[in-house]
Amino acid sequence: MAIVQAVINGVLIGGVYALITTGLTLIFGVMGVVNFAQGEFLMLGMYIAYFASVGLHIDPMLSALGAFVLLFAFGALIEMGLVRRILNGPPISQIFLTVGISIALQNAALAAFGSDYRSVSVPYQTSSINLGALVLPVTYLLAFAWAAAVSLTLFLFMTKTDFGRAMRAVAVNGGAATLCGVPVARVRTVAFGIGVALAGLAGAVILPYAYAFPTIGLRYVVIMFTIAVLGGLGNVTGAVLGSMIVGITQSLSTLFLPSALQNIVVFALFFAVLMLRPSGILGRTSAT
Amino acid sequence: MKRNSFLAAFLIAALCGFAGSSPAASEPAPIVVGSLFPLTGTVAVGGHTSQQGVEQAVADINAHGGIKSLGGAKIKLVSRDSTSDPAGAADAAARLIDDVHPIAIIGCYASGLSVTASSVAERRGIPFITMSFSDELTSRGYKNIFQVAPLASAIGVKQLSYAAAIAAKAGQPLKNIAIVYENTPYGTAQAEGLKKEADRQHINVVLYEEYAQGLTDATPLVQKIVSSGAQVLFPMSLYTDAVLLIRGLAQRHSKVQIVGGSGGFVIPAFFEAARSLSEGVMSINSSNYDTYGKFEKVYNAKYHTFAPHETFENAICMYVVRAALEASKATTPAALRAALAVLNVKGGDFAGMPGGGIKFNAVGLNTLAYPIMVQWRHANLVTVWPAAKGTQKAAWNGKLIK
Repeated sequence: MAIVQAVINGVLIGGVYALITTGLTLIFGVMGVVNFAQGEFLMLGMYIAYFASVGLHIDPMLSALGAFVLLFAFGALIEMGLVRRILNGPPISQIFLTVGISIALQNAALAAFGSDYRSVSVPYQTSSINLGALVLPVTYLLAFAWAAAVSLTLFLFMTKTDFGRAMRAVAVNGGAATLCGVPVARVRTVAFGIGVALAGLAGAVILPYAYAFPTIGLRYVVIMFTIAVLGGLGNVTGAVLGSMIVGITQSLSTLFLPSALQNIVVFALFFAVLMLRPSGILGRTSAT
Repeated sequence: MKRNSFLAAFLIAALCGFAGSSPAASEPAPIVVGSLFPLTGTVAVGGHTSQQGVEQAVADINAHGGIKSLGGAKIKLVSRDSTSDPAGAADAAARLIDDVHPIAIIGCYASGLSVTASSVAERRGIPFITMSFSDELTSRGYKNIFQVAPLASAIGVKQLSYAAAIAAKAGQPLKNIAIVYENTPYGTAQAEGLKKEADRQHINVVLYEEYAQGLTDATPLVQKIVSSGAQVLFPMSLYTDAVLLIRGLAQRHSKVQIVGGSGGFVIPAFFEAARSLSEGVMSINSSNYDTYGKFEKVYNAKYHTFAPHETFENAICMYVVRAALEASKATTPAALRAALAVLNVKGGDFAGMPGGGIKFNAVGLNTLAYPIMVQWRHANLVTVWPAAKGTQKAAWNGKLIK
């Protein structure tokens, strides 16, 4: 029973990881940019949900939509104003830019919101659904539901709509896509916007069980990159798969090992995957 | 000619001006004290509240005539950001000393930062006064470190022995306990003290679990605590992990009595996050605001929340500097160091500290300080143990002890 509970815990947290990582991998898939500021966009999503909850009494599960919209606009602006300029530059300038955005956002948040920890109170915060001896915490279930809905929507968007197909075309070959009349610049702006917005949405839906402060992004960024690379950087399905693997591995390993070592198992697995399949479990072929 | 007389008049005026200002020039030069706290990074919250404590003490000292034995010399506080990184703290300490030549440094709240910054201060012969708990600080044979609060290991021992005494009084003697701690100097040192005391008292430690500080998900840890069957949980956690733990335990309808290891369990933000879950949560602490008196009133009026222990204890560090200056008329770091070593003060500014005074031993540890047990009761944190020092009676598993 303990193993079943551990697997369930792993799947639930895996859903949250998927939500956080999908945006990162989408941006890399379409644009070839490694966005080191993704954790800070998560942090902004948390603050949006926090202020919506405290100031307007909107539940984070609803204000997640607002966080998505606001961060989409913010991400699109950043793409048009900054990221676009370095797309053809050397890879190192991408690192400088996104790490720079990360530092700037952390310190802007520190200046604007202070260093205090922020946390919301919601009625379902400590509720859980009991199935026999199994416990399903409501906060995690809701975050998981959001993750499932977002993954499905994104999948349909990428496979069934013209714009989604255009995104995948840009991911495979930007030059050829241009020749075929795909508005490459607009596709990139939208892809970056969606990638950033997904992190913001993730921040909002995890707020009920977590807390916000200016450097919270740093806590998620390592796991985010591990999952993205494990699943195959740029591959959205791979990111979801990687998230589940990491979530379940973390959860199961603590049954047998001290909690402090839960990431050791993840990194050992990560190392093994990179040895055997250097491009990640699902490789990098397309943006889906 | 005209120009010359103008010049002469100017010179005379200037001379008169100079003469006129000479009484002011005889006012003693201010005494420069440095403060070094993490104002940015992961432990910035405690850094800011620490800084507030030192600032309030300096304002109080200067408003009441400065250092009287030095002719009313004012304290000039120079504050720097240690960052939340131990290497950054060492750099900041070196720059602070080179830039302003402080007579003493107060810092750095977090033990890991104090360890590196105090090494720099030791090399340059500047007294370093701290409220950090880590045993390491005063175990390196340094001449210039002064630790005002109890040691982490001693806090761990009392965390267990106080809880055992309270539980026994409630008629529910401790049998099975769980200890979880973050993998930092604070967490490991305190957990070791706690474990040793549990073994000594033949209490069964059913879970002794280290975790990586800065959890993003406490579910696996909570799972282990619940399935261990412990009646009491002793967590050594900072705020963020404390919140994830208490929410995770509530989601699993756990009724375990929590006896926290200071850290995240004794700050105003804990109540903001935990709300009704905080009721009855105990924690060991090095001091508590219900004994701070006037300091708490002034702080509360300004910041509209209670003064966390680090705020008060960093103010105590500043009052320690004042007491040593008053006693010795020291104007150099070396003379101040000598005065600190023989300092023996009680009451007054120090009344709010458990033990009520300061007396450093040969390694620089305040021998009068001892830990207290505090408990969240109706949104307030109150001192409950030792019983004679408590402002309220302790409650164990919701039952008030007589």
